[in-house]
Amino acid sequence: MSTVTSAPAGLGDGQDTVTAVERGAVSWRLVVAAVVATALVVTLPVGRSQFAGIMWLWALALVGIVGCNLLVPLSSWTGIVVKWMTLAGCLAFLVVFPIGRSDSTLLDLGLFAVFGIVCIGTNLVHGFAGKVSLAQAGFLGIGAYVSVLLDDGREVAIGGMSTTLPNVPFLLAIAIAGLTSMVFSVLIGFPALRVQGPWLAFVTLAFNLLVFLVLNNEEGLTGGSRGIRIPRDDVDVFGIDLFPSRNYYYFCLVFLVAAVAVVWWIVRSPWGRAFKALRDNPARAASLGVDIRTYTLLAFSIGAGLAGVAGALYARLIEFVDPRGFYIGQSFDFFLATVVGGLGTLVGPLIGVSFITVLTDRLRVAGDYYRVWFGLFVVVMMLVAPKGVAGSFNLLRARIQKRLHKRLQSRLRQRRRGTRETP
Amino acid sequence: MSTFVQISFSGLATGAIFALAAVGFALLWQTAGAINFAHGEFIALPAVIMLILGEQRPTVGVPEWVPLVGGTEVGGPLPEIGIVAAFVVTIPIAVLLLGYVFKVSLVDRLLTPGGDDIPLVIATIGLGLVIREYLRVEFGATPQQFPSVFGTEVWRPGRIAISVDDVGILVVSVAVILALQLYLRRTYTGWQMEAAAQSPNTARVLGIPVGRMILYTFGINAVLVTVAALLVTPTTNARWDGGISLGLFAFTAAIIGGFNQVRGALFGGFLVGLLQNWSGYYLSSAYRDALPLLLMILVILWRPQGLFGIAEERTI
Repeated sequence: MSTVTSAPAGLGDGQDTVTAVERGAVSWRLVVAAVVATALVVTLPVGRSQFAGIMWLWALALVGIVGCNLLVPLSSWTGIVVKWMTLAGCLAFLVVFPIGRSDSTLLDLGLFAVFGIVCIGTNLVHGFAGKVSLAQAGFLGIGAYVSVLLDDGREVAIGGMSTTLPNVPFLLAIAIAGLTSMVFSVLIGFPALRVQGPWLAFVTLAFNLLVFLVLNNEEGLTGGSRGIRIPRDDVDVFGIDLFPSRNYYYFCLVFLVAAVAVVWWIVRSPWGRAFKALRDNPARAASLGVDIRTYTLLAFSIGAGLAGVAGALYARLIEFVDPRGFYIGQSFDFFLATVVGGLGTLVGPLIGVSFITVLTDRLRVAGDYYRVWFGLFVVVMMLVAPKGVAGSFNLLRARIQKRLHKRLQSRLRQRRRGTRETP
Repeated sequence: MSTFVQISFSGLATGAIFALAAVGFALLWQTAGAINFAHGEFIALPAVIMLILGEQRPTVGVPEWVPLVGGTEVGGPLPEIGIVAAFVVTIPIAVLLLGYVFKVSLVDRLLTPGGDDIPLVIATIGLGLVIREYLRVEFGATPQQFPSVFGTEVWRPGRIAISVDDVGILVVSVAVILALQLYLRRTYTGWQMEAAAQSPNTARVLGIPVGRMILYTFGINAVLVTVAALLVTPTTNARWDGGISLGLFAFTAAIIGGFNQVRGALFGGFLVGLLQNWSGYYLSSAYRDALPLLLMILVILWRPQGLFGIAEERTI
């Protein structure tokens, strides 16, 4: 506070901040602004208000948070406080928003959480380990069908044999779904990760189509193209009934947060540094003793495992599985969403996945053309801002910080000159 | 035996179309280093353009999302010009859109020499999405019939039934590919193009306009996809999502045959077509697509230069 008052009159907030940061203090003005904006973002949408102005206020508050994040250097105390508060605010929003919403909105939000997990996996594989995987929908499908088959003691027939599968509790089924996807990813990844770039994309794409063919044609196992209905009414976890849409959404949200936490932990661990070394310069990483193959395989299989877990959640979310949901087109969607959000960032995939889930129905201006615009957005983004939304945000912040810093330096110089003259 | 001949023949016809698509795909890779994930959509789009020009929807309108003049019909119904004339009209459109505009607006900007090829991969996946969804909205989700140039007659020499369409497809695509091969091998421009593809820097030193040669390959690719569209659409029907599987089999054929050879792509195409038909008839019709895909995975893993390709210095 003292720094703010000591700054020369007529300066904007930005300069104050930098002054404060220079002296190692917290810029309370910005923190307060961020708190207010976050609180508004979280509380404004509560209930079903028909007042259109609320949406504008809400958008304004969002812009406010983004602005606060742009104005502070990431490494300063203010920056850390504002960043964590933004994250907490977003989480609080995801918790508070569903209160009093209709089932269809909750379904949208659930899709956001589930596909968010998939895209976090894609981001780990591509953004951190630098491998293009176009098989995420296939792994999603494997997870979904595994979890469906392990419910209710289903009878399956494959080839000439038929057997009855055990009825497994939901949580265990989710774990098995994730593990199965991981096993498949190791089987395909172990030989395939030798090849680079587009070739790996082709291999994974072919694998995805093979998975689709099996799901579509093994009627005894998967019910074929008619799909399987899988009602959620018998699912409860730790005594909590997951049948109500809101409970199930919160259940998915827990997994989403856990996925973010896992990736956050991986990226900060020695593993994560190995991944970054790999992505930036595989040859140098190898010469420094990073076991390329094991690490990429790990990233690939964790990404697939996340997709498998998401698949188990997805099946119960829409209470129906059929092979069309796991076609190549869906893999393209996950891939594009991750890229648009920003590869190699933690929040990027979540920004990206909102383009293919919650925003599809909300942006009515675009109407039927929504997905055309989304595709164009991807193309244009590759041309002008290949780092995606989150990456561009970081670049913008860096540029603003540089400019603010320069201005601060010249202010300081002026003031020093001024103090020498006045006494 | 007669069944086998019959199945093999129609497999060859399908394969010839895959070969056409694969040759274009491989050409772009060879000369420009561009991998086009929207290749299938590049085949689906001319098919729809031909339909609109040819007979099915003879009115040109301004789409509703264009502000101010949206939703108006311009010029009234076009005369029905038949599919062959529509094909002729479509070629320059395709060369302009899928050749020139594609190269200048995307490939030139995203493909820096010695750089990463993933940005172009991402952008072409996005482009594929744009074309697919645009067709879905504008053209409708239901597949539409597309007339065959060669008619629907069936010849029956002996106990074999051979459709005229298959014969026509085979003859036309092999002729087109042979003509292309002759052009590349026998003409001065063809030599220049080969040189530009093999070693751009040396070619440039020798005074070959490398940029223009690359542009030519994009034009050739546009013509090839239009021919492929004309030949393949009567069997697959014109549909908005037809591009996904077509594109995938074009890649498959190119990869199996070998990326760096027109010959390789040709044989790759035939092999994919034959494998599809054989496995469809003798193993299981549900898995007719599976065998080519498995073969592609094996080829990428153990013989990345392709079955008929020559190993390159390029590391993949």
